[in-house]
Amino acid sequence: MPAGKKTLSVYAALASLLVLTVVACVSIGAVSVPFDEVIRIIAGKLLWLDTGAEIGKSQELIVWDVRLPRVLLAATIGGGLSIVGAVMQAMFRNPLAEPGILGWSSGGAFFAVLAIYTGIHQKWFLLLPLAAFAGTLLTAYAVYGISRYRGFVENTTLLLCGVALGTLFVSLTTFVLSISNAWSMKEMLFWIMGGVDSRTWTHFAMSAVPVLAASAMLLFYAKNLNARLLGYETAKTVGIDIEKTTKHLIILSSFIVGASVAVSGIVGFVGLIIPHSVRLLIGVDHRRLLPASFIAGAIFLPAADLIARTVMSPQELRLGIITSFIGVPFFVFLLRRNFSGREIL
Amino acid sequence: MEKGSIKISGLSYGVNGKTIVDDVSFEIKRNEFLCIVGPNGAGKSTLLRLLARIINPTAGHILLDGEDISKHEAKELYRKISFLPQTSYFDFPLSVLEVVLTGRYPYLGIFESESEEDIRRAEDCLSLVDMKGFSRRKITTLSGGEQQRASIARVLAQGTDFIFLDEPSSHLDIHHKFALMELLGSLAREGKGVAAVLHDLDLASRFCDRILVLENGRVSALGEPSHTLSKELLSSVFKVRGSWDPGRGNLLVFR
Repeated sequence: MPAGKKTLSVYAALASLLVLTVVACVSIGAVSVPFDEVIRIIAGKLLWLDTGAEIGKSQELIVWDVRLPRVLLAATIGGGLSIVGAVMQAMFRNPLAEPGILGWSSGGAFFAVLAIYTGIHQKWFLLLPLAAFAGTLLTAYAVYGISRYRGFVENTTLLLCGVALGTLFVSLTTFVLSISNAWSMKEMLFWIMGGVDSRTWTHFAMSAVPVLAASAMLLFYAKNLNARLLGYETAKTVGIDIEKTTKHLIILSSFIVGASVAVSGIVGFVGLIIPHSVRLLIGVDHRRLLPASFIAGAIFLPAADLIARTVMSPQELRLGIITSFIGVPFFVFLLRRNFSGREIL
Repeated sequence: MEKGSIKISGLSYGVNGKTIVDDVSFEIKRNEFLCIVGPNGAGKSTLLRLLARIINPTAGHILLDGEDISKHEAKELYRKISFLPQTSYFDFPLSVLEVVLTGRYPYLGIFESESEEDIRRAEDCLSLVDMKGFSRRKITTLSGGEQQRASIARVLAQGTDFIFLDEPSSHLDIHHKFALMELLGSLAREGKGVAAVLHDLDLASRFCDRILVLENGRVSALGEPSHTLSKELLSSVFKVRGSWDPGRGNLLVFR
C-alpha cells in the first residue's frame, strides 16, 4: 500500500534519532567530546576540510579512529540483525524466530573461530566473514531441514532444533578456544557474548558491504513475506514460489548474520526486540517494516553498546549481556502471549 | 484450445504408498457452482489442493483451457484460479485490507504497489462478504467467522475465472452461511467456475448446480443434487438416512 503520512513521520523520526544516536555514542565515554566537536571532526574528515588547530589530535583520534568505527559497526550489525529477525519471523511464520535463538549466530561464530584457529583468515581478509557465512548457512539449512515436514515447517521443532544446534555450536566454539593456548578467556567471551570493542575501520568495511548489500536485496521480498504470514497455501496461490524464494531468503539472511558474527561474535535478541517493536509503530507490511527495522536496529545496538561501555566504567560489559538483559524478558513475554493463545502484540 | 473449463482426467495422488485421490475424472465449467462432498478422509481437500497446484498429482492431468496447469507460470496461473485453504493463519496483526490486498499480488511486479483501483476492488470484495468498514481493523482482533469472511474477500479480490474453496462456510453463522452460498451461486451466474468442499449436505444440495460425491478417493456420484443424493447413496456413503422435501426442494438428513 502507498506510504501514508504516519509512515513518513515514523521514518523521519527514526532517521533523526539515528543521527542523534551516532553523534551521542561517539561523544559519550571515558573522555567526553562535545557534540559540536564530534560533528566538526566527522565533517572535517568526510569533506577534507581543514578543521584548524583548535581540535586536539587526541580528540580526533578518539572520535575518528576509536569511537566512530565502533559506533558505525554497531549500527550496521544492529540494522542487519533486525532486518533478518523480521524476515525470519515471516519466513517461518514464527514470532519467536531470530538468528540467535535459531542457532544461526552460534553456527557462524563457530566457523569464524575455526577460521582463526586454523589461520586461514590471514590468507585474505574476507575469508573470515565468508567462513562465518558458511557456518550460518549450514546451521540455517540444518534447522530448516530438520523442522520441515511435507513442505511445512513445524514451529516447536524449529525452535527446539535451533536452540539445540545453537548450544552445540557454542560448546564447540568453547572447545576450540580452550584447546588454543594463544587465546584468553576474554577472547572466548568476545565470541560467545558478542561485542564491538576494539573494532576498526577494517572490521566496519568487512561487515558493512555484505550487510548493506544483502539488506537491500531483502527488500525485493517484502510482498513475498507479507503473503507468507497468511500461511504456505495462501502464499503459494497468490503466486509465490515458496521453495525457491525460501532458499534466497535463507542465503541472504545468512550472509548478513555471517558478516555480523565474524566481527562482533554472538549478539542475541536484537532480531527479536526490534522487529516486534517496529511492528507496533508502523504495522506488519514488510515494505515498511524491513527498512524501518533496519534503522531502528541501527539505533538500538550503538545505544546498547554505549550502556555496555559506560554503566560500569571503567570496566566494559559485553554487548551480548546488555542485549540479553533486554531481550530475555521480551522473549518470555512473547512466549507467554503465544502459548496463551492470544495474538502477538 | 478448449476455453471455459477445467478438465480433470485420471487424476491420482498418493503418499507413502497410500492412495488418497484415485483416478478421478470430471469437469468444472464456467457458469457452474460445483460442490464436493464426502465422508471424512475421502480425499476432498487433497483433490482441491491438487486443483490449486499446492501439490502435484502422481498421475493424470488438470487442463485449464486445454493446457496442463503444471505448464503455467505461477503468477499467470493464479490470475486464473484462486484458492481458499481449509486453514488460514493470522499470527501477525495485518489489517483486514492488507490481508485482502494479497489477493492482488499475482498482478503486481516486485516493487509495484497496489493501485487505487486495487484498493477499491478490495473494499468492494469486503462489502460482498458483509465486512464494509472493517478495512483498518487488525485481523488478529476479529472473530473466527470474520477472519473467514476476510479470507473469502481475499480470494474474490484475486478476480479469477475459477475459484476453489475448502470448507468456506466453516466458522460462519447461519445467516452468513446462506449469504455465502448465494454469493458463490451468483458468481457462477456471472460466468465464474466455483468449486467448494462442503460438509453440510443440506446447504450443498440447496445452492449448488452439481454435486460431486467422493468416497475413498474415487468419484462415486456426480450430477444435479436431487438426482445424485439418493436415499441409497446417503445410506451407503454417509451412513445417514435422508429424503427430499418436495415442497421446498431441499434435502432433509437424519440418523
